[in-house]
Amino acid sequence: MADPPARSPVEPLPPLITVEGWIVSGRRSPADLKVVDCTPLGKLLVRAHRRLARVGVGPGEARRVDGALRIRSGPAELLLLGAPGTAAAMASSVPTEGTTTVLDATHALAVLRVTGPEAARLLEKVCPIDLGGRAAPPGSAFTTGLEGVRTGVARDDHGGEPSYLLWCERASGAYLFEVLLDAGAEFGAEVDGFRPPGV
Amino acid sequence: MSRPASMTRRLPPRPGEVLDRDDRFTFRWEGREFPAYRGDTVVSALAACGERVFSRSFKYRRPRGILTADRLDPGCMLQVEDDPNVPGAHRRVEPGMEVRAHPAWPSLRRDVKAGIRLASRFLGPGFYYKTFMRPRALWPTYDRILRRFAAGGRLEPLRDDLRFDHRFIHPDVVVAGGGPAGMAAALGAVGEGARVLLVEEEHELGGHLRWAGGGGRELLEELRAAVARTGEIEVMVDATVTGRYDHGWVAILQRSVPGVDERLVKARPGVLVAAPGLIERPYVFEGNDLPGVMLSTAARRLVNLYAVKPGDRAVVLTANPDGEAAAADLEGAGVEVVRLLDVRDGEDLRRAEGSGRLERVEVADGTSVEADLLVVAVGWTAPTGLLDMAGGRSRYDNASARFVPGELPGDVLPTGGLSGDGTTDQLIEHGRAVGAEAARRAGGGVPSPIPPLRPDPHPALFRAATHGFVDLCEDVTSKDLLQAVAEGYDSIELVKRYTTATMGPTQGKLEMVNAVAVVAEATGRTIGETGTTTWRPPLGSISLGALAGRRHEPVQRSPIDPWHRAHGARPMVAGRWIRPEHYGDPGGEARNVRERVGIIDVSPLGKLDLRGPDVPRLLELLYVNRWSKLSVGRVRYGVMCAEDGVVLDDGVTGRLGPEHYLMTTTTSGAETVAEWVESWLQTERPAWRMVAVPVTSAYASMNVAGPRSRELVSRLVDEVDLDPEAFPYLHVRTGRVAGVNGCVIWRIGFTGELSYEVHVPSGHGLHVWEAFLEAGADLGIRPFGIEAQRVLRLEKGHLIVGQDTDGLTRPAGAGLGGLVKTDKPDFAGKPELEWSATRGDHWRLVGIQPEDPDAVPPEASQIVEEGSRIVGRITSSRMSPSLGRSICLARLDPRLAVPGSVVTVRLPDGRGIEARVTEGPAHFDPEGERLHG
Repeated sequence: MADPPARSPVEPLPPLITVEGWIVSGRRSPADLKVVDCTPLGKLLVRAHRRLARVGVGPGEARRVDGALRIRSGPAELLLLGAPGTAAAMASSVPTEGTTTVLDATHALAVLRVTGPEAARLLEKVCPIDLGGRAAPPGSAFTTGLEGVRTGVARDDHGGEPSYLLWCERASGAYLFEVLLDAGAEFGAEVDGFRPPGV
Repeated sequence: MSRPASMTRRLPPRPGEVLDRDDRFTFRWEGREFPAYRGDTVVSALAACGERVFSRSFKYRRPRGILTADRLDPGCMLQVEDDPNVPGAHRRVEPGMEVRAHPAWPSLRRDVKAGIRLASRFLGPGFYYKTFMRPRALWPTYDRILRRFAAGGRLEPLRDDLRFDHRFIHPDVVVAGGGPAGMAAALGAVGEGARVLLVEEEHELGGHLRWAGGGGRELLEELRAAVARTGEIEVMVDATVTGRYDHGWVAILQRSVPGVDERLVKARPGVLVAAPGLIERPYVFEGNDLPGVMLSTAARRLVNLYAVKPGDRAVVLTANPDGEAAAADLEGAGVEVVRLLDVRDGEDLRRAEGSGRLERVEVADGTSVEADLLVVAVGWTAPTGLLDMAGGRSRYDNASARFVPGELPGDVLPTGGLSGDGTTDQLIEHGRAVGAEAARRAGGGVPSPIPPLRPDPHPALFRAATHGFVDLCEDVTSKDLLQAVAEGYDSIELVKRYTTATMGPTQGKLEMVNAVAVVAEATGRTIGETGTTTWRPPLGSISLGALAGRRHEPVQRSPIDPWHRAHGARPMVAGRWIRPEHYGDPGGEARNVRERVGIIDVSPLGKLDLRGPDVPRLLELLYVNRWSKLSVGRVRYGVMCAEDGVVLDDGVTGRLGPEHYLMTTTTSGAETVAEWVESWLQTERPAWRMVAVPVTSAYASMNVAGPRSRELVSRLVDEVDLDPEAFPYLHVRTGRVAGVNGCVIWRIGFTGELSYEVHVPSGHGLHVWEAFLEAGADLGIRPFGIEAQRVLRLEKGHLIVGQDTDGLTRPAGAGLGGLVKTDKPDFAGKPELEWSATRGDHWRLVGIQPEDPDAVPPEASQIVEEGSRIVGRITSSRMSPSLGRSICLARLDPRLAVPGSVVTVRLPDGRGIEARVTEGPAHFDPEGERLHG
């Protein structure tokens, strides 16, 4: 039996629509700089006892494998982001050796996306890490503190536009969303609704 | 009403002026309307209308006017709207702006406090230290009086209209200073492929080329165009590099950002290029602070940037070509230069005289000249602060009479006037070379030498034959410095602290070298031997708001938070979580749980997913009680201690599968326990085959409690048999709740009632919550908040770690001694707990009921005996809705911690009330019949 529609920690702006089992904002923003709540993404957390083997992604990297974004989020940790509802399918594609936990983290994390030419300028206001092209090129990933919240960041450009995926534990998602919009106000950042597949 | 002022001293348009004469508007100064052009600073607009006095001095309340006509000008600190201490010679005036001088009474022109100058001979250095030390009882009185004489503006304490923020930036090269050398350095660095940030304190790039006239204008435009053309140089104007910190961090205070009052930029460049230019040094002589006495650069800024005629009859004292250029500019502006005194020809001045403004200049040769303007050009200070903060060692150069950069670390390079002198072309050439070298070094290149730029020889001029002000911010005179030395303060650092010289808003940039020279003169040492005080960040004033940045306070919200807000919950902060304290009637909420059924959002409970064959070993290690035989489907309460045996946290852990456990922690202990677990697994037991993942946010958690809870839960749960035999107390099941798969259901009861704790995938939390409320409507369900929960658990005698325990409480002291299994091979805190078990002198956690059932002693009230000896403390107290009386938990001396003991609780008002120790900690249902029902 299918679950009832799920909600993100970020209250969606009207109009509300249901997409892939999630209640999301149907808003379409024409702004150059957009902040999107991507929490409906399927998320799979793989954490190994010692080290991850043969996952196809090196430390500090985010790479697309089989339609999912595989992010090496820690020394022995892998985060997979896929289209909504794909966590179980992604689990079957992950090689597990030894003691490894494969956890459906769909409801554990909030995922936000900042896209646009000024995306790095927005993040510079809240993130102490060098987001310049040489230090954080497309396909890079790291964890940092973002206005007091432990946050994962992956550079995942879309259509030639700079784009950053950010994830944190779900309870801080609304706060992080507010922080990003506040920081992006001077660049005209606007909320854009989630559109699958979203990654 | 006063007549509007007019621009009586405004010159016809000048070639390099920064004014937009098509944009004329008015603003208010000291309550009177003044005209201005767009581009004017507050002070240039006022000066164009003939105003000459802008402030009263810090200590002697002397009238002060323009000295430098830039951001450093000590006499031009103003109150602009609600902002105090604004550099008025830098802040651009805006239409309708309300500007005032810092408080003077009855007016800036006639400040009665200026009468203090009559007592000036008694107000030398250390006056306050010497005078106001005794009697100590009068300190508050002294404080009140001195505050009335304190200078400075008016600070509005509660303002929410200001916006500050931060920005982090990682360029390869930061160039501090946007003069010709700075711009050239930026271009040189970009030419080598570097990312460059160019920071300029003024409102536009250009440095001295902006006001120096001549062919500099064309060159300035060329450089500006080149900077803009690259597209690779980020330019910040009206921004100040305020410090250079460890690991290369550079702090930049950025103003004039749209929508932001001030922004603190934290830059971490590969190399810092310091190109701040030179600062013209004031001259010390009697009357050197009179309005009308100014530096040559100030006169040229006024004439050439702001088209202001600074006087009618001028005396110019010069020791360099800039003084001559100033004289030429003044004459070009229609000012009569009545006397040009050239120090190089042996000329000097003795004093400036006038009543409230300059009227005469007495020359060293004894002649006296009527003048309303005295322009001095006696030398330069190289602002080496940034270099010294980076670890450089500046040294005094006798030939040029200024401090120059000494040995520097490889990631800091000076250029421009800071390095030396030369023609503009030479400065630009040096800047380009330095910029290119900076880029190479930022890219990891090996340092290579740069052709030096040497400072030109210059006469050493610091003080005339008379005494005057050295520090115009702090009203410190050369006499004061001599007196300080005479009193034994013979090092420049001590003199600084004793006299406060260099401690004002300019932070030594104008006055440091003169102060050093006077101290050197008094001690018989050279200036080089005397040295400078230590340059520390910030280099200039910086607001606390800029340091603080945006007021983001991280908060965590439950998935059910929107419902709480929509239904009038009173929010409370618990750690980082926003939780509902109550929904308007905590007593009623608690009674409803006892009589019918209630539901509480407990999502913030810490949760850890533990998997692997060695999880039982971890539980045995971290908890004081036994875990190895916990079977699948069972739940156990555990207490966790630190290695010193002090209670760290408590909670329940359930076994969901053969190698799968779910641990819960207190809300406040969630992160601590997660780190504690990870620390043990990574550093002490790395071979154990298990993985721990924090999943607090993954679940929305709610506790359905009350005698009708089973009936309610049964309406929404599938696949789980709720019969008490099938699902008894301290058991756990997984199943579907309200159509949501993957839920975890525990039978536990913090409230002391039959209850079910339901953990739901967070995205469905609100749905399940609403489903419970809808399904339980006919059962009388009500939500209850933290306050009701606290009352209910207190009735039951359940402790809260952190409230009923403290940083010294071991399990036995919290009534948990029976859980500690010291016969286990090992667990965290075991040695300490074995030792403490042999002592038995620890305070015990007991239930206490005041003899007066209406008296509720506040939590943290002391329990005393023999009048004042502390023998315990109330840790929790409430009025119990179930019992209709006050109830408490307390930690108590073991002598008194026996049922029936009567103790005295000291109330905050000093009264003592009697209270009796109960049989056990539980005030309600001590047998636990309701819990196990």
